[in-house]
Amino acid sequence: MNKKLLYSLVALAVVFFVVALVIFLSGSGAEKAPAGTTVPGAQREAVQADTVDLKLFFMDQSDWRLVPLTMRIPRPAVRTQLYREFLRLLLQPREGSRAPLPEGTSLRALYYLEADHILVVDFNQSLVTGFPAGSRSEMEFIRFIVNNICYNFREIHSVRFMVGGNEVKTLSGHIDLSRPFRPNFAYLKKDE
Amino acid sequence: MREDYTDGSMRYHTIIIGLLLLLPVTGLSLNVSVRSFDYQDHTRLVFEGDRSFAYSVAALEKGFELRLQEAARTDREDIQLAGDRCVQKVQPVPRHDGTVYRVETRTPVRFQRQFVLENPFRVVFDLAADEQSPPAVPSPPQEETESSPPSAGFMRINTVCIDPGHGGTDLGAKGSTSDLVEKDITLKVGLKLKRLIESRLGLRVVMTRETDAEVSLDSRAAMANNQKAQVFVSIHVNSSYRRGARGTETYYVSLEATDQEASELARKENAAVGGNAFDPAAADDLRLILWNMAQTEYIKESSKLATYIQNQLNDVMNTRNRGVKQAPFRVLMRAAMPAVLVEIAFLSNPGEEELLSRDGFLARVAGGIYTGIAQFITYHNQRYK
Repeated sequence: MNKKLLYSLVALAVVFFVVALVIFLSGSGAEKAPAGTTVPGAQREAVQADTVDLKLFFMDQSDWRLVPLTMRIPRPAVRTQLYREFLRLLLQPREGSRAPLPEGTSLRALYYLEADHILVVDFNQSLVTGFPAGSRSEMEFIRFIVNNICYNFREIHSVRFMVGGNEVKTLSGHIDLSRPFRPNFAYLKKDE
Repeated sequence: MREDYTDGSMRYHTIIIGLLLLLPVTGLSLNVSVRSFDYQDHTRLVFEGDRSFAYSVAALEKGFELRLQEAARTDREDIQLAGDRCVQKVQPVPRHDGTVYRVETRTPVRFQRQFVLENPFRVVFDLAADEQSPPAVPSPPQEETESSPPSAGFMRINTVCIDPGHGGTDLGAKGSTSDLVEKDITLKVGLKLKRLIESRLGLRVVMTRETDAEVSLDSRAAMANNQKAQVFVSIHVNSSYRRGARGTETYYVSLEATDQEASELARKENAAVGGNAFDPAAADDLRLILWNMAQTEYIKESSKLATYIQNQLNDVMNTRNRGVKQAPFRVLMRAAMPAVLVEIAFLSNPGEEELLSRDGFLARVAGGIYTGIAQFITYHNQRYK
């Protein structure tokens, strides 16, 4: 009987080892996520339609809300590529549409934490080094990014910010960035 | 039957041992962090686990022991005693039957409250000095509810902390048509305000900086807490990507930024869009997170202080109907006292930039903030006398 127990234990240990190895290897090809986060399963999700309609909201000097600009783009093969393309369109300098962020700001990486419905967006250092200071500027930037993302991708419930691959306390000494931000669509101007 | 029983028992043991083998794979080992905050009348000590754990409490002459019935890991950097007025030391001691957290306090203490919070799992102790008797073991934990009475300090206000924003290499906002920088303006207003409070109210004033020095955000609140200030006023100058943005704004803390105009529309708009912004479950998460902030207990009083100051500054700026606002300002979140942040005016607005260059205007702003603080102190002292 002792032998039986021993064999069972060994067999169980081998099974656990194999399962752990499979889990480890299946995650090794994915984009590296921050410590304590889950690997985004949506990255491998196939999509059906050829194009996707997006509504990008920009600043308008005559309205306190962000005003919409509709775009249709080819749909990328995986969802995180769509998020990435959306942010690229949002950040790129555009005639007549203002984005509240410093020149040179670009996206370094993003991670979708599917279980928590959080998108982690990691910007380059220009975001901090070129930031104009002022709490209102920080709020304008945060609302711009969070509302745009959450309005277009309803599976994302909140957005967390990183800069240069690291967590940051604030952009320029005001709003705490240690927690994810939820959207407030009151800041978006709908189509008239 | 005997054979069946034995096989069943063996399977049972196999499962138990298998689960033990799984521990390193699934990360079920227990990590515990410890932190403390000093409040006016008590110290809050929080043990946070990366999962729930069973525990018991045993009183010591000066302090107590939190005894876990399993091994837990706590690195040195996991123990953050921002509140050191009461708690002297927290020492994790591994024992054969688990881990004991030995809490040593400077004087005998009593348990004002004890409760457990979930997501993440936390055991929270509110400790108050007790010179009379050794601490009694607290009653079994109860679920914290929103209706729990706040235990904000019932002391007369005698110390005010003024925090001139930015400083040193951190210039803050910059003028668009001049070389004005925020750090200089906030220091001028802060020093004027200090003189007014000392000379007219006779109160002690703690400054987070009195020169062009660089002070970290977290140190500012810690300074106020350690000096036992009962009011915290952070002074800033605003800047916006909208050149037309103007006016004074007074903030107290919240986890989400609100604007007067936006908050009026928010609920209707979010509901119309079908967003998740008012998901009740998520709202509950926010409530639990709020309990983690030192500022939580003082939000009502902070709102009152903000209102008094904003009303005065509306007069100075000749603006009307500008209410107070809320946003998750890092400098306010760790302040264990009524705390507000004043954005005097916008350096990005050429008209207000010109105003901010005048000493007379800055003196009027300091006077407005002073009157607001004085009104709050009168309200506070009358309420708690």
